[in-house]
Amino acid sequence: MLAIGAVDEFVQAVIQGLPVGSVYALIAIGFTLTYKTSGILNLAFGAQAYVSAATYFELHVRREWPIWVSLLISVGILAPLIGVLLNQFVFKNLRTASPVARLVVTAGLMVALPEIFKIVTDFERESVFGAVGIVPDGKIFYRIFDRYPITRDEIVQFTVAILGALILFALFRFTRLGLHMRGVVESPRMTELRGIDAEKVSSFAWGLSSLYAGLAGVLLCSTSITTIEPGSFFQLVIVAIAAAALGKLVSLPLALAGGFFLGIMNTILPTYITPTSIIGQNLGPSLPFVMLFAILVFMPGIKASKESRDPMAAVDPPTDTISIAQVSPWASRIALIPSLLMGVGIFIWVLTSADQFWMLLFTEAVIYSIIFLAITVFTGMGGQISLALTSFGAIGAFTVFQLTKNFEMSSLLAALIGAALGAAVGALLALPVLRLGHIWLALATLAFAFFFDAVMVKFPWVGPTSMQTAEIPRPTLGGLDFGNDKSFFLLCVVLLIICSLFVSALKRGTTGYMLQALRGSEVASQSVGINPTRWRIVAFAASSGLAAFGGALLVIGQESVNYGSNFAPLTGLFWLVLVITLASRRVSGAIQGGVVFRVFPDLILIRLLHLAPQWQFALFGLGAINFSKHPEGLLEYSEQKSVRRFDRLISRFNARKQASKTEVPS
Amino acid sequence: MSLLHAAEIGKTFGSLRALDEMFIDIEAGERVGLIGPNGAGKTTFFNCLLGVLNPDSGVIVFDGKEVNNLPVYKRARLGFGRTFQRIELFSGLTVREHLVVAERSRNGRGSFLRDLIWQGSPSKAELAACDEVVELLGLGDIRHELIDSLSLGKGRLVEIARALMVQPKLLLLDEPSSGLDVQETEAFAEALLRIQQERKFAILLVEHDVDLVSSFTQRAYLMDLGRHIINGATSEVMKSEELRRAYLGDGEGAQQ
Repeated sequence: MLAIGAVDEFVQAVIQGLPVGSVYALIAIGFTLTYKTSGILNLAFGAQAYVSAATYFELHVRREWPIWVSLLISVGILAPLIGVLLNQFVFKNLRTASPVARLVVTAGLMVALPEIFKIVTDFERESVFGAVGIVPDGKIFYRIFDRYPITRDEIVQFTVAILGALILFALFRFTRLGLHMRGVVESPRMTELRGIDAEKVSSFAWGLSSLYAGLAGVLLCSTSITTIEPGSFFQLVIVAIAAAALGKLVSLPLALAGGFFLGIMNTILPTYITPTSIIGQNLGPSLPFVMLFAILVFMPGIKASKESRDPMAAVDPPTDTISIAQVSPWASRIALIPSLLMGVGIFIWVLTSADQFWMLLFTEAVIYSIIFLAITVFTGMGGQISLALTSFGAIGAFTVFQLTKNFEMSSLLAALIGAALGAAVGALLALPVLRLGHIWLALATLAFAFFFDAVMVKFPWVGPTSMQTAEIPRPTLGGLDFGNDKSFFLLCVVLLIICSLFVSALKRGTTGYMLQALRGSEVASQSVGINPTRWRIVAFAASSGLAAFGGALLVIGQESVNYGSNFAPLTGLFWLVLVITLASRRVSGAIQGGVVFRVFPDLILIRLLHLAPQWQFALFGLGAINFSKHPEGLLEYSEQKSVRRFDRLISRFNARKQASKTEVPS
Repeated sequence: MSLLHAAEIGKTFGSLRALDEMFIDIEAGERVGLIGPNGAGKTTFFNCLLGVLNPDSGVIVFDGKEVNNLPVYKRARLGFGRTFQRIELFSGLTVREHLVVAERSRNGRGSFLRDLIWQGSPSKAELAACDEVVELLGLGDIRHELIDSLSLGKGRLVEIARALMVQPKLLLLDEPSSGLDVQETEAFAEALLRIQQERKFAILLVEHDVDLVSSFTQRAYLMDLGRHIINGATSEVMKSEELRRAYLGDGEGAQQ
């Protein structure tokens, strides 16, 4: 009896998992398709799914348009249109950009797309609950073998997804266009030499992949996704990446299998794990993250799998490299003066005449600058990307919370311990993850961030269990009490200066040299005896420590943990995109980032221009597109330009002096 | 005991036997060439010696120490220096900074903690050591130039300078003539010879440019199809029938 019961349970779980699995499979092959044809890991995939799902919801549920019209518009027209437009205006220009640049751009789009959609359609004005499928009466259920229930929605979901996958395979195998697509996968330039328009083929691939994104978005709304908000669709990207990673991002059949596997595991696992344990409660939703992390860390040869690169990419002109233009040290010093003056001006204004609102705002700007220094270290100096910044911020915050609550420790001391703990966890995480390098590293940290968010936070020895108990006292130091906002602001400024000095010291010291060398050429670095692992761990640990320290200060300033609003994983992506877009290579870039992040929206967008807060996400997300053209960041780019102007003035002046000198004797 | 002793090195890629019982011996201060036509397995062998690839079989002894299982960077610290066929430089650093990196790596004096107390910037002594090598290679005028703005020929010199900073006992050069014209190659060889005679390190030159090998090296190994063919004084190897056969084939068509 027991055996039959167990088999029953298993079959039931498989049948329940199949429909979702088929959609995951669809996503995975759509995702792989664009990676193969353009070398871009499209993080905005989930955002595209969101746009279609929200449009379908708006048309069919709110405006009560017929199903097929709504479906045609949201999936048949809008989805591919977005894909083609994105390819035309953004992705097409990214082919020769570095892997990191490509990732940053799509991360920016991921943040920007849903916000732009919301601004354009005013979507979130009403409830976003109550999504429906693409057939009427979808909740009616049937029994397979008179035994296992399955709803009409699920049947449709399964059938449509399978059809979509079959069509793609047929296209690849049997049509000329499919053949061309396979050619473009190998090398767009080479394909063009054969007289095939690679742009057109690539554009088609983007349209098709985006259509699949949209279709998946709409299909999932009938079963597993119940609220139509960008966050729930972002998970899809992780699913897609996890499934696609099984096929090392190049094999469509393996990606397909990976999708099915994930969907089925999603329903099977919860039946075997004690549902009341914390892991049992949260493993289901976080399974894709765990899977992705496990695949990246344990799958042999994933590092060796080449990053998709056109063998003939060299025929494209290199990107503009204004950042390496050399100028006289005088010119760069003079160019620093305006921002320095502005900083001092703001500082004096905050101390003397700011009210409490602005005081707190600027205090947070200072604290965020410390967090953003983590990006300066790891991305600016190390040239790599961590998407787990928020997790480390939260580690700092939780440490302060636990230590002050349980041991009544001074919160400042607790913040320092939090920083050390963050650095330690960073070093531990770095061991398996750092050998992956570049894009895989970024994905592994992303998986870690989401796993931390879904599971770790729930443990009582990690985070606060309820809002009431999450209070955190302001620190005292000797006779000084930082309960007062002004003194706390001063404390934060001093700490920022110390942290900035630390980072500049790293930059000018051995760490900076070694990281720059590793960034330039890993093989050459090793050939002079540099141990790459050691310096990468140092960079990751230092960066994590800084993020943890900043996170700790942030919650001390707010006197409460506020995990959700401070440290949600998507926030971390936004931080990264913001700082990289502005300037990630310099210490001052982090400070400017802090000010822009915390003050700009309130001051410019809301007070002066009276725009919705969504605009800041839309604007900075779009700003990331610029990253591929100006990897040094917008601020540094414009500053470099003015520095060069100074430089020219100085050299012209010198030349004139020279000229007049030579004229005198004659 | 020779400086480098490698014996019975084998390496297989899939079904391709890339190296088969390959061996080499290099004495301290010697200039040795490794020649062979394209696809002979020179680069594979070279990479096995350096630790970039792990051979399936065989033994490598360097300076009396077995180095088979050491990673690239540890072999570098023992005294392997190298250059690259496609130059590998640290984009964003100046010429002298390349040497500073190498010097720091050699003396092992840099650490994260030293950086934190502002002791990380290069010291006067370190800069002087770098400048010495900069002058040695005639790079004095461009020591503050960013590497990205230099020509290939200068880039190769910077690679040599960087390798010299770790005070190698054996310098392995991977096709240094590729991408250079005849004059540039000659200038490069001249500079290298001068420095080698001053510093007394050994050189292993991997080349398919037979002219460079015959003018530059004292002994040579000829390999083809992953195997050792002959070795001996360079002039002997150059005259040998085996060399002719390896490069031109032994078909009747080759004979006039």
